[in-house]
Amino acid sequence: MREEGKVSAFQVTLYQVSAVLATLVLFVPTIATMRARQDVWLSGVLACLFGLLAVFIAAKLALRFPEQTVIQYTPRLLGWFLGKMAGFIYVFFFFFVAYINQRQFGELMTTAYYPSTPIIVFIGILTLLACYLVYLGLEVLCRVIVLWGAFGVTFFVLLALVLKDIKVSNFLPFLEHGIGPVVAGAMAPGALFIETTIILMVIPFMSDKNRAVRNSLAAVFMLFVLFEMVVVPAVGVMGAESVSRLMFPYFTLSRRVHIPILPVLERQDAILMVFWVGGLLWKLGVFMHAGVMGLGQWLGLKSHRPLIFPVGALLIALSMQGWESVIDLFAAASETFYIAIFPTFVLPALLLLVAVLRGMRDEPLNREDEG
Amino acid sequence: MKDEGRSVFGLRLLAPLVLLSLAVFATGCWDLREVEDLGFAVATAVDTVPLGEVRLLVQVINPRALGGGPRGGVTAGASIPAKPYRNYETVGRTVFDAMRELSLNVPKKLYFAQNREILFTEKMAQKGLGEIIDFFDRSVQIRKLAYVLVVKGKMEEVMEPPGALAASPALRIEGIMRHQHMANHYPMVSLGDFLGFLAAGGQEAYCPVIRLEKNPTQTLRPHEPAPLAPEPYLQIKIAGTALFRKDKLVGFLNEHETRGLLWTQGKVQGGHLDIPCPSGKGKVSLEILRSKARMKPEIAGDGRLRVTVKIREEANLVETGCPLDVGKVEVIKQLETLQARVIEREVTDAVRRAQEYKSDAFGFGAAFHRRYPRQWREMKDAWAEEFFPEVEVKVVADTKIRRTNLRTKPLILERKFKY
Repeated sequence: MREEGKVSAFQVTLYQVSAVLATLVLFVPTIATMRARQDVWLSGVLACLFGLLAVFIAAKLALRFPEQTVIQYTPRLLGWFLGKMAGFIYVFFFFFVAYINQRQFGELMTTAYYPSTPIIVFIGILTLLACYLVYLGLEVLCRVIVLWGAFGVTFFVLLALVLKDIKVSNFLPFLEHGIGPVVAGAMAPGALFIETTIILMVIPFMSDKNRAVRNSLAAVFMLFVLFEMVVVPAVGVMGAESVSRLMFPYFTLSRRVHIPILPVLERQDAILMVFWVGGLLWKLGVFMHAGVMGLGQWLGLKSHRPLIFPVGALLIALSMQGWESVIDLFAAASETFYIAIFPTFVLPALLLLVAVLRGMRDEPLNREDEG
Repeated sequence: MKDEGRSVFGLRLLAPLVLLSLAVFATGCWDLREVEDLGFAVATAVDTVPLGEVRLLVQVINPRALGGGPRGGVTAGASIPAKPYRNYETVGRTVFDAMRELSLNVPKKLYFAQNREILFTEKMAQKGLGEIIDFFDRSVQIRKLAYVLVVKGKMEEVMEPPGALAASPALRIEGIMRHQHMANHYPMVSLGDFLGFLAAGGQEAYCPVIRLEKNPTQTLRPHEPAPLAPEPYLQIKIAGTALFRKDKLVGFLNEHETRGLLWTQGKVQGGHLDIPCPSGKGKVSLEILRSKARMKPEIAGDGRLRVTVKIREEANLVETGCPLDVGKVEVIKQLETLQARVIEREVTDAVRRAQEYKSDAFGFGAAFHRRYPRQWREMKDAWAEEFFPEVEVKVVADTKIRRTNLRTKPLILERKFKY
C-alpha cells in the first residue's frame, strides 16, 4: 500500500477536479442545453448543489475509515457477500467511467482532427499512457495533475476572448417552461459532479485528512465554476438553439473567437486541445487507477500492478464494442446519471447510514497529521 | 522491490524513445497532410441549376504566385505573372457531391479551413438555403467565422473581376469587409451569425449583397496610347442587405435602409451621416463614432404590438457646408436634434421595407419572446405573416455631437465667400 505514496489535500482537490472536468465540457453542455435551453446556467447551480451533497456524504464516510478504501471496508460494514457485491459495483463503475472516457476521447479526435484515422489508434495510445501513469502510482499522477492545473488558465483566456460576444438576450426569457426542464438539464452535469466521490479511494493516502471534507466541497465548487465558464459563453455567444445541436460545444466555441483587429487570436482550438487531451488522459488515469487498485484489493492481492495491462486491454475492448457510433455514445452519455447515481450517491449514503447505526469507526494511524 | 526498480529504469529509457519515434514517424496518423499537397480554398460560391442540382465554384489560392520574389510559371512570350488563384466549378446533387467532384479537376487536396467567404447566388437564395446550408453548419473544416454574402448577378463574374489584382478576389472581398464600419452600408454577417439567425425564433436572417458595377474611373481616349495599367472596367461593390424569410431570400434593403437595420441592432460603429443645415441650404457632415440600441416591445391594451427602439449615438462634426457657428452650444443642440431625426428616418424606412417583405430581420419577434413568453406561444406561428407587418415601431434617438475637429467656426462664415 505504501507504494502509492502520500498526497496532500490540495493535490486531492485537483485530482477530484481532473476526474470530472475533461468529460464535463465534452457532451454535457449540449445534453444540458437540450433540456434546459437558455436556463442551462441554472441547471449548473442545481447540479452543483447536488454534487456538494453527494461529495459531503462521501467524504464523511471516507473519514470514518481513514486508513482504508471503500473496497476494503464494505465487507466489514455489510457482511462478506453484500460487501463484496458493493465493492464489485465500485470497481465496475470506475472501469465504466474509464472506458466511456476512452471512447469519448477517440470520438473527439476523429471528429475534430483525424477523420480517416481508426479510432483504436487514439484509444490505444491514450490507454498505454494511462497504464504507465497507473504503474507509477497515485503520487506521480497527482503531481502531474498539479502541473497541468497551471494550464487551467486556458479556460480564463477563452472566456476573456469571447466575453465581448456574449449577449445577455440569449438567456431570456428566464424559466420559459418552468423549473422542470432545468431539473432535467441538471442531471447530466450532476452525474459528473458526483464522480468527485472518488475521494473514497484516495483517503488512505492523504496526508492531511482533516481537510478532506472542505477540499472535496471546494473541488465541486471549482467544477461548477468551470462548467459555468463553458455553458454561459457557449449559450451567450451561439444561443441555446445552436448549442443544443452541437456535438462538442466547447470545441466549436473555441473556434468562434473573433476579434476583428487581432485576427491572430482567432481559432484557439489548438490551445484548448493541449489542455483537453491532457485532461482526458488524467481522467482515464484517475479512474483506471481507482479501478485497478480496487480490483487488487477486492481480490485480496498484495500488489495490483500485474493487473494494469490486462485491465488496459479489457478497457480498450470494452470501449470499442460498447457503442456503435458517436450517436450511440452520445445517447449513453446523456443517461449516465442513472448509472452514476447508485455508486456515487445512493451507496455511500447507505454505507454511511450503516456505519453510523453500527457505530463503526476507525482511528487514523499517524497522529502527527491531525490538528 | 529490486526487480521492480530495474523495470522502472527500463521504462525510463524506453518510454522517451518510443514517444520520440512516435512524434517523428506518426505525425497526423492516417490524416497526414503536407502543406504543399493542400489546395487552400479561399472562397466558396453556391449556385443552383435546374433539376435541383448544386453548382459550386471554389476559388483556390496558388501560393507560389502569391509569394514575393521570382514569380513561378511565367507564361511563355509575355511577362504576365502566374495567376495567384484559380476558380474551379462543378455540379453535383449535393454540396458534398459537388465538392468531391472537384477532386477530378484540382491537382491538390482541397482544404477549407482558410475559406474566407461563402457566397450564394440570388437564384440559390430565392430557392431556399435549407437544403444546402447544413453541410456548412456541420463541417469541421469550414470556419463559422467565414462571411456570408449574396451575389447579385453571376457568381463567376464576382469570383473573377477583370483587372490585374494583387491577390485573389476572395481576399479583396475580405479586405473590403474588414473596414465595413467605415460606411455601415452593408451588414457584416459571419456563417455562425447566419446559422444563428436561421435557428432563432422571431428573427429572420440577413446578409450583405455583393455585385459587380462599372468602374467610372476607366477612361480610354481613342487617339492616345493606353496607359500602362488601364483601370479595370468593372469593380466589386458590397452594399445593401439581402432579407430572408425562413431560408428564402425575399428582398433587398438599399444602403440607406441597411443602416436603419443596423441602428436597431446597435451595430453602427462608424460611418457618415449628413444632415440638412438649419438654415435650409447646404449640409453638415457627421462622422458616427459609436451607437447603442435597446428594443422595448409592448403589447398595448387593445392587443396592438408596439416596439420602442432607443438609440444612443455619438458623432463628430467633420464638415459644414453652410455659415453655421458650430462653436456655440445652442447650434450643436440644434444639430443633434436634426441628427436624431435623420436616424429615426433611416430606421422607419428600413422597418417599412422589411414589413413589406414580411421579414423580421430586426428580431422584434425575439424581443417579444423574451418579454412576453406566454403570449409569444400564440403569436409565433403566424408571426411573419400576420403580426410582424402590423408592428408599430417608435424610434427614440438620443444623439450627441462630441467634437468638431480642429475648427470652431467654418471658413464660410468669414463672408469672403458669396454664399
